[in-house]
Amino acid sequence: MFDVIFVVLMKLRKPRITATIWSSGKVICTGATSEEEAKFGARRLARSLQKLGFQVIFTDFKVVNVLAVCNMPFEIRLPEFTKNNRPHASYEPELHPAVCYRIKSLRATLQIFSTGSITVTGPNVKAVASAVEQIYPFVLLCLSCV
Amino acid sequence: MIIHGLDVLPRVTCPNHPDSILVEDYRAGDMICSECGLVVGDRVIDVGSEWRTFSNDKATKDPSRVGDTQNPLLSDGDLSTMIGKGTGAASFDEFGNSKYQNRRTMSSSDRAMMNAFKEITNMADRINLPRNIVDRTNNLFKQVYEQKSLKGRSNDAIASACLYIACRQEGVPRTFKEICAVSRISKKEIGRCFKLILKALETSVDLITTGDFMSRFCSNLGLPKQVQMAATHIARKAVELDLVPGRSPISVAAAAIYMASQASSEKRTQKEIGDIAGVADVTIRQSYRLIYPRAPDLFPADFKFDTPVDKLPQLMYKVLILGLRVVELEDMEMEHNCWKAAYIPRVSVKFLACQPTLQSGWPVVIRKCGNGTYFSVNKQQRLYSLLTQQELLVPAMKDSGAHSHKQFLYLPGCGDGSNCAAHR
Repeated sequence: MFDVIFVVLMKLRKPRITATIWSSGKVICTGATSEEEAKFGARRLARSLQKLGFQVIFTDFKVVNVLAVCNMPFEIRLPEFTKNNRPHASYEPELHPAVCYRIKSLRATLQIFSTGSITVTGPNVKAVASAVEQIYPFVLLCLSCV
Repeated sequence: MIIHGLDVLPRVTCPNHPDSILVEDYRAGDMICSECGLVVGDRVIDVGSEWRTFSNDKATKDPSRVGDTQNPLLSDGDLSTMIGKGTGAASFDEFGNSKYQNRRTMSSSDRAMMNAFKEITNMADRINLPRNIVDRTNNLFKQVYEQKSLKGRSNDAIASACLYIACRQEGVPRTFKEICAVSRISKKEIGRCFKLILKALETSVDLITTGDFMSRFCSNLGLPKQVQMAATHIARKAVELDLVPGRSPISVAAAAIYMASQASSEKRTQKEIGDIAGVADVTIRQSYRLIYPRAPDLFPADFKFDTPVDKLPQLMYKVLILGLRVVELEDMEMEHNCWKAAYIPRVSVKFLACQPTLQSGWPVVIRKCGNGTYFSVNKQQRLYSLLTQQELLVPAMKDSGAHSHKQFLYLPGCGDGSNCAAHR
């Protein structure tokens, strides 16, 4: 766990991002809505640090985590879904109201709620998109018709 | 004569069946033929205990010359030597302390594990768990401990999580809150360890159902068997009909118990049920509101009602819906069927009575539960289409005397609402 005292939070308006800056020079940039926007934001940040007088070099830009949200037009029956997808899906209603479905090949995690909304996190935008496509047939099997 | 190891030792065999396998009987020290039952070997070592010890005997008088029972599955074997209390004068040095101290290091490698086992036994004792669950927990803990994948976590947290898993695996799950009550670890940490252990041991557990908790909660509340069976039936039916999507089974069970107890002569308040089940009384209220509309279908066929179904407590706000703006008014008396008719899942469409009473023809407002927030335009449109499609509400007539800039929805069946009072 890193020491939180040595972190500066910097928020930019134009690509709306929040950057966490460590004294070692590493920066984590969150809140952008696309990969290019994230890069613009990071570059803008580096420029503003340069203007302040620090010797900065923009290296090793990497998109590490992408979070996406999507909505299914139907409600989903979670207990049935967990039973059908045993090893990948894990559901603990006492702890969290969503099913946590992990796709190892894409390194993506999906949180499926009973209202039909799905939150996907993955290493890049393509993985996230294919994760949603992969899970759609499984989810379709367990929809609840009210 | 040269003796070559074990080959020359006489083998005990049954005289009638030389090929049969001999079964060892530990307690009597015999070797018995498995075919005919003849006792072949005698004078084999008996591993039973030498003396019987009772709990009312004085502690100093234990004549047993061997140690405690071995726990070979769990610790690394308990074969340590202990030095007995000295009796003569020579065993004490100048100051009066005994010369040879006892219990230097019993089993250093597994000291932490033995501590954890003690803690597990204590926790299980507090909620009266049977021995088989405790044994299972100990086994799980040993597996996790040897794997070392959760080494950084507190041992108590791992022990609590193992206890939770053992209860689940034995088919008698305990809620996280119940385990929390007997452990010093927070629910969050137990939950985290639980997930990590499942991953480390590569096992999975069955989903919890509402029926698992019924007998415990009902007997803690002192409810008779009929009420318990009714509550089990209600909860099961509610889950089958999918009236409570996304609600924890504990909350549904609590709401079912509330409904069953309110319908019988043994009524319990939401607070009492909430205390026993570990759910907040607002949670019970929320789940109850979801199952209430279908109450007649949920009760078992042979249930004797002390309070009939229509007299069950309603617990709804009954918000008066005025066009698309939210208006909340207090206290309710509402036509039973129009309220029932407007049940739409997840939207919390609540109908409030406009003073003094709501009747057909009065306008209705769609509101989000809790605070008086406005719905966004999209949502309003969606709700409007939902309500009119299902023909629960009909759009207002043009000249009904209502404000022209508001869209009013009326309950079907009665006129044009021209006789409704002005609204805030």
